[in-house]
Amino acid sequence: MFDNKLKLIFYFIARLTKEIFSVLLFFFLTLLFLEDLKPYFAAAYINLRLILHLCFIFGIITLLTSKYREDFKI
Amino acid sequence: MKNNRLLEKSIKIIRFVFVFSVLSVISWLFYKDFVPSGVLEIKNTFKSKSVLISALYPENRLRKIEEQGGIYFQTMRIDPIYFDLTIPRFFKTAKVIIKYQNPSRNLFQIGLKNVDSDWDFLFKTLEDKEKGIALIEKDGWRTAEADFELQSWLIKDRELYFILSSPLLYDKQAEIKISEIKIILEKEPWTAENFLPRFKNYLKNN
Repeated sequence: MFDNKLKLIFYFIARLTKEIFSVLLFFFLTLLFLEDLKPYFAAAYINLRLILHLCFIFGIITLLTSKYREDFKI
Repeated sequence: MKNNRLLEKSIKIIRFVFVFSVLSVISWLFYKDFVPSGVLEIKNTFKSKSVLISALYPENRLRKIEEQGGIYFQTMRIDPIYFDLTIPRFFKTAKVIIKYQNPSRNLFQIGLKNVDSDWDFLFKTLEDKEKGIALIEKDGWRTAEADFELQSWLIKDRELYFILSSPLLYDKQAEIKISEIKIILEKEPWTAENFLPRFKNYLKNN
Protein backbone atom coordinates (compact mmCIF):
# COMPACT_ATOMS: atom_id res chain seq x y z
CA MET A 1 0.00 0.00 0.00
CA PHE A 2 2.77 2.41 1.06
CA ASP A 3 4.78 1.47 -1.98
CA ASN A 4 1.86 2.21 -4.27
CA LYS A 5 1.28 5.58 -2.63
CA LEU A 6 4.93 6.50 -3.03
CA LYS A 7 4.83 5.46 -6.69
CA LEU A 8 1.75 7.61 -7.15
CA ILE A 9 3.47 10.63 -5.61
CA PHE A 10 6.55 10.17 -7.81
CA TYR A 11 4.38 9.71 -10.86
CA PHE A 12 2.38 12.85 -10.04
CA ILE A 13 5.51 14.96 -9.48
CA ALA A 14 7.04 13.65 -12.70
CA ARG A 15 3.89 14.46 -14.69
CA LEU A 16 3.54 17.87 -13.06
CA THR A 17 7.14 18.77 -13.84
CA LYS A 18 6.60 17.84 -17.46
CA GLU A 19 3.48 20.00 -17.64
CA ILE A 20 5.31 22.96 -16.08
CA PHE A 21 8.25 22.51 -18.44
CA SER A 22 6.13 22.38 -21.58
CA VAL A 23 4.10 25.44 -20.59
CA LEU A 24 7.25 27.39 -19.62
CA LEU A 25 8.92 26.46 -22.90
CA PHE A 26 5.86 27.54 -24.88
CA PHE A 27 5.75 30.78 -22.88
CA PHE A 28 9.44 31.50 -23.37
CA LEU A 29 9.43 30.78 -27.12
CA THR A 30 6.29 32.88 -27.63
CA LEU A 31 7.83 35.82 -25.77
CA LEU A 32 11.07 35.44 -27.68
CA PHE A 33 9.20 35.47 -30.98
CA LEU A 34 7.12 38.52 -30.01
CA GLU A 35 10.19 40.27 -28.63
CA ASP A 36 11.88 39.78 -31.98
CA LEU A 37 8.91 41.29 -33.82
CA LYS A 38 8.36 44.11 -31.34
CA PRO A 39 11.35 45.06 -29.22
CA TYR A 40 10.59 45.57 -25.51
CA PHE A 41 7.25 43.81 -25.91
CA ALA A 42 8.00 41.52 -22.98
CA ALA A 43 11.44 42.59 -21.78
CA ALA A 44 9.99 45.79 -20.33
CA TYR A 45 7.83 43.87 -17.87
CA ILE A 46 9.10 40.30 -17.60
CA ASN A 47 12.51 38.91 -16.75
CA LEU A 48 13.09 36.67 -19.79
CA ARG A 49 16.36 35.37 -18.35
CA LEU A 50 14.52 34.10 -15.27
CA ILE A 51 12.04 32.24 -17.48
CA LEU A 52 14.93 30.74 -19.46
CA HIS A 53 16.57 29.57 -16.21
CA LEU A 54 13.29 28.06 -15.00
CA CYS A 55 12.91 26.31 -18.39
CA PHE A 56 16.38 24.86 -18.00
CA ILE A 57 15.77 23.66 -14.42
CA PHE A 58 12.37 22.11 -15.20
CA GLY A 59 13.81 20.62 -18.42
CA ILE A 60 16.54 18.85 -16.44
CA ILE A 61 14.03 17.60 -13.84
CA THR A 62 11.73 16.40 -16.65
CA LEU A 63 14.60 14.44 -18.17
CA LEU A 64 15.61 12.97 -14.80
CA THR A 65 12.06 11.96 -13.91
CA SER A 66 11.20 10.39 -17.28
CA LYS A 67 11.88 6.99 -15.67
CA TYR A 68 9.09 7.57 -13.12
CA ARG A 69 6.61 8.56 -15.81
CA GLU A 70 7.24 5.21 -17.54
CA ASP A 71 8.07 2.75 -14.73
CA PHE A 72 5.60 3.87 -12.11
CA LYS A 73 2.57 4.14 -14.34
CA ILE A 74 -0.21 2.61 -12.31
CA MET B 1 -7.73 2.57 -10.77
CA LYS B 2 -9.82 5.22 -9.01
CA ASN B 3 -6.63 6.98 -7.91
CA ASN B 4 -5.36 6.91 -11.45
CA ARG B 5 -8.48 8.57 -12.83
CA LEU B 6 -8.38 11.25 -10.13
CA LEU B 7 -4.74 11.91 -10.87
CA GLU B 8 -5.33 12.25 -14.61
CA LYS B 9 -8.20 14.63 -13.92
CA SER B 10 -6.11 16.80 -11.61
CA ILE B 11 -3.28 16.88 -14.18
CA LYS B 12 -5.78 18.08 -16.79
CA ILE B 13 -7.03 20.84 -14.47
CA ILE B 14 -3.46 21.93 -13.67
CA ARG B 15 -2.62 22.00 -17.39
CA PHE B 16 -5.67 24.16 -18.07
CA VAL B 17 -4.69 26.57 -15.27
CA PHE B 18 -1.12 26.85 -16.60
CA VAL B 19 -2.17 27.43 -20.21
CA PHE B 20 -4.83 29.95 -19.13
CA SER B 21 -2.26 31.85 -17.00
CA VAL B 22 0.24 31.99 -19.84
CA LEU B 23 -2.37 33.22 -22.32
CA SER B 24 -3.53 35.83 -19.80
CA VAL B 25 0.02 37.12 -19.34
CA ILE B 26 0.54 37.32 -23.12
CA SER B 27 -2.77 39.20 -23.52
CA TRP B 28 -1.73 41.59 -20.74
CA LEU B 29 1.58 42.20 -22.54
CA PHE B 30 -0.29 42.98 -25.77
CA TYR B 31 -2.44 45.44 -23.82
CA LYS B 32 0.64 47.09 -22.30
CA ASP B 33 2.40 47.25 -25.67
CA PHE B 34 -0.55 48.57 -27.63
CA VAL B 35 -1.21 51.26 -24.94
CA PRO B 36 -4.95 51.68 -25.68
CA SER B 37 -5.31 54.41 -23.06
CA GLY B 38 -2.68 56.44 -24.93
CA VAL B 39 -0.68 57.09 -21.75
CA LEU B 40 2.50 55.32 -20.69
CA GLU B 41 4.25 56.21 -17.45
CA ILE B 42 7.93 55.36 -16.96
CA LYS B 43 9.68 55.93 -13.64
CA ASN B 44 13.10 55.87 -12.06
CA THR B 45 12.84 56.23 -8.27
CA PHE B 46 16.48 55.20 -7.72
CA LYS B 47 15.17 52.33 -5.58
CA SER B 48 13.61 50.70 -8.61
CA LYS B 49 13.32 51.67 -12.24
CA SER B 50 11.65 50.57 -15.42
CA VAL B 51 13.90 48.80 -17.94
CA LEU B 52 12.79 51.41 -20.46
CA ILE B 53 14.77 54.14 -18.69
CA SER B 54 18.53 54.04 -18.25
CA ALA B 55 20.44 54.92 -15.10
CA LEU B 56 22.02 58.37 -14.96
CA TYR B 57 25.47 58.57 -16.54
CA PRO B 58 28.45 59.15 -16.67
CA GLU B 59 29.14 57.73 -13.22
CA ASN B 60 32.11 60.00 -12.47
CA ARG B 61 29.82 63.04 -12.46
CA LEU B 62 27.49 61.49 -9.93
CA ARG B 63 27.59 60.12 -6.40
CA LYS B 64 26.37 56.60 -5.73
CA ILE B 65 22.67 56.11 -5.00
CA GLU B 66 21.99 57.03 -1.35
CA GLU B 67 19.03 56.62 0.98
CA GLN B 68 17.77 59.17 3.50
CA GLY B 69 14.56 58.67 5.47
CA GLY B 70 13.27 56.10 3.02
CA ILE B 71 13.94 58.32 -0.01
CA TYR B 72 16.50 57.11 -2.53
CA PHE B 73 18.39 59.70 -4.54
CA GLN B 74 21.47 60.28 -6.63
CA THR B 75 23.59 63.43 -6.46
CA MET B 76 24.78 65.31 -9.53
CA ARG B 77 28.23 66.79 -8.90
CA ILE B 78 29.37 67.84 -12.34
CA ASP B 79 27.29 69.18 -15.20
CA PRO B 80 25.90 67.74 -17.47
CA ILE B 81 24.54 64.23 -16.93
CA TYR B 82 22.42 62.09 -19.19
CA PHE B 83 19.81 59.36 -19.31
CA ASP B 84 18.13 57.53 -22.17
CA LEU B 85 14.59 56.40 -22.67
CA THR B 86 13.40 53.58 -24.90
CA ILE B 87 9.89 54.02 -26.20
CA PRO B 88 8.07 50.90 -27.38
CA ARG B 89 5.67 52.88 -29.61
CA PHE B 90 5.56 56.34 -31.13
CA PHE B 91 4.13 58.93 -28.75
CA LYS B 92 3.18 62.54 -29.47
CA THR B 93 4.31 64.19 -26.24
CA ALA B 94 6.53 63.50 -23.26
CA LYS B 95 6.09 65.16 -19.89
CA VAL B 96 9.16 64.84 -17.67
CA ILE B 97 8.59 65.31 -13.94
CA ILE B 98 11.68 65.55 -11.76
CA LYS B 99 11.84 65.56 -7.96
CA TYR B 100 15.06 67.14 -6.74
CA GLN B 101 16.89 69.32 -4.23
CA ASN B 102 18.88 72.28 -5.50
CA PRO B 103 20.04 74.20 -2.39
CA SER B 104 22.23 76.61 -4.38
CA ARG B 105 19.27 77.44 -6.65
CA ASN B 106 21.55 77.13 -9.64
CA LEU B 107 19.92 77.14 -13.07
CA PHE B 108 18.64 73.61 -13.72
CA GLN B 109 17.44 72.50 -17.11
CA ILE B 110 16.53 69.39 -19.03
CA GLY B 111 17.12 68.84 -22.71
CA LEU B 112 16.29 66.35 -25.41
CA LYS B 113 18.96 65.58 -27.99
CA ASN B 114 18.58 66.36 -31.66
CA VAL B 115 19.64 62.99 -33.07
CA ASP B 116 20.70 64.52 -36.39
CA SER B 117 23.38 66.56 -34.72
CA ASP B 118 26.26 65.83 -32.36
CA TRP B 119 25.72 68.52 -29.77
CA ASP B 120 22.32 70.10 -30.12
CA PHE B 121 19.68 69.86 -27.42
CA LEU B 122 16.17 71.20 -27.08
CA PHE B 123 16.35 72.66 -23.56
CA LYS B 124 13.54 73.36 -21.12
CA THR B 125 14.15 75.16 -17.85
CA LEU B 126 13.27 73.32 -14.68
CA GLU B 127 14.48 75.96 -12.22
CA ASP B 128 15.76 79.48 -12.75
CA LYS B 129 15.79 81.86 -9.79
CA GLU B 130 16.12 84.87 -12.11
CA LYS B 131 13.01 83.99 -14.07
CA GLY B 132 11.25 82.89 -10.88
CA ILE B 133 9.68 79.70 -12.22
CA ALA B 134 7.03 78.47 -9.78
CA LEU B 135 7.93 75.16 -8.18
CA ILE B 136 6.05 72.73 -5.99
CA GLU B 137 7.97 71.93 -2.81
CA LYS B 138 7.12 69.12 -0.41
CA ASP B 139 9.27 67.75 2.43
CA GLY B 140 12.28 69.66 1.10
CA TRP B 141 12.00 68.11 -2.38
CA ARG B 142 11.06 70.28 -5.32
CA THR B 143 9.07 69.04 -8.27
CA ALA B 144 9.51 70.55 -11.69
CA GLU B 145 8.21 69.46 -15.05
CA ALA B 146 8.94 69.99 -18.71
CA ASP B 147 6.88 69.16 -21.77
CA PHE B 148 8.31 68.01 -25.08
CA GLU B 149 6.64 67.50 -28.46
CA LEU B 150 8.19 64.32 -29.78
CA GLN B 151 9.21 65.00 -33.34
CA SER B 152 11.15 62.64 -35.57
CA TRP B 153 14.44 64.55 -35.11
CA LEU B 154 14.34 63.75 -31.39
CA ILE B 155 13.99 59.98 -31.77
CA LYS B 156 16.49 57.48 -33.11
CA ASP B 157 15.87 53.71 -33.06
CA ARG B 158 13.12 54.23 -30.46
CA GLU B 159 15.56 56.03 -28.15
CA LEU B 160 15.24 59.47 -26.63
CA TYR B 161 18.43 61.00 -25.23
CA PHE B 162 17.95 63.34 -22.29
CA ILE B 163 20.45 65.73 -20.75
CA LEU B 164 20.25 67.29 -17.27
CA SER B 165 22.27 70.44 -17.09
CA SER B 166 23.14 72.94 -14.40
CA PRO B 167 25.90 75.21 -15.77
CA LEU B 168 28.93 75.86 -13.53
CA LEU B 169 27.62 73.45 -10.87
CA TYR B 170 31.10 72.10 -10.08
CA ASP B 171 32.74 75.55 -10.13
CA LYS B 172 30.22 76.81 -7.59
CA GLN B 173 30.87 73.69 -5.45
CA ALA B 174 27.13 73.03 -5.57
CA GLU B 175 25.22 69.77 -5.97
CA ILE B 176 21.77 68.69 -7.08
CA LYS B 177 20.06 65.66 -5.53
CA ILE B 178 17.60 63.87 -7.78
CA SER B 179 15.12 61.49 -6.16
CA GLU B 180 12.69 60.70 -8.96
CA ILE B 181 12.41 60.97 -12.71
CA LYS B 182 8.96 60.29 -14.10
CA ILE B 183 8.13 60.44 -17.78
CA ILE B 184 4.55 60.45 -19.00
CA LEU B 185 4.28 59.64 -22.69
CA GLU B 186 1.03 60.46 -24.43
CA LYS B 187 -0.60 59.78 -27.74
CA GLU B 188 -4.12 59.59 -29.09
CA PRO B 189 -6.17 57.15 -26.99
CA TRP B 190 -7.89 54.16 -28.52
CA THR B 191 -11.48 54.75 -29.66
CA ALA B 192 -13.92 52.65 -31.65
CA GLU B 193 -13.32 54.90 -34.70
CA ASN B 194 -9.53 54.84 -34.78
CA PHE B 195 -9.04 51.27 -33.57
CA LEU B 196 -8.74 49.61 -37.00
CA PRO B 197 -6.21 51.99 -38.58
CA ARG B 198 -4.20 52.04 -35.36
CA PHE B 199 -4.22 48.27 -35.05
CA LYS B 200 -3.13 47.92 -38.71
CA ASN B 201 -0.34 50.37 -38.05
CA TYR B 202 0.63 48.45 -34.90
CA LEU B 203 0.94 45.20 -36.85
CA LYS B 204 2.83 46.84 -39.72
CA ASN B 205 5.42 48.70 -37.69
CA ASN B 206 7.65 46.80 -35.35
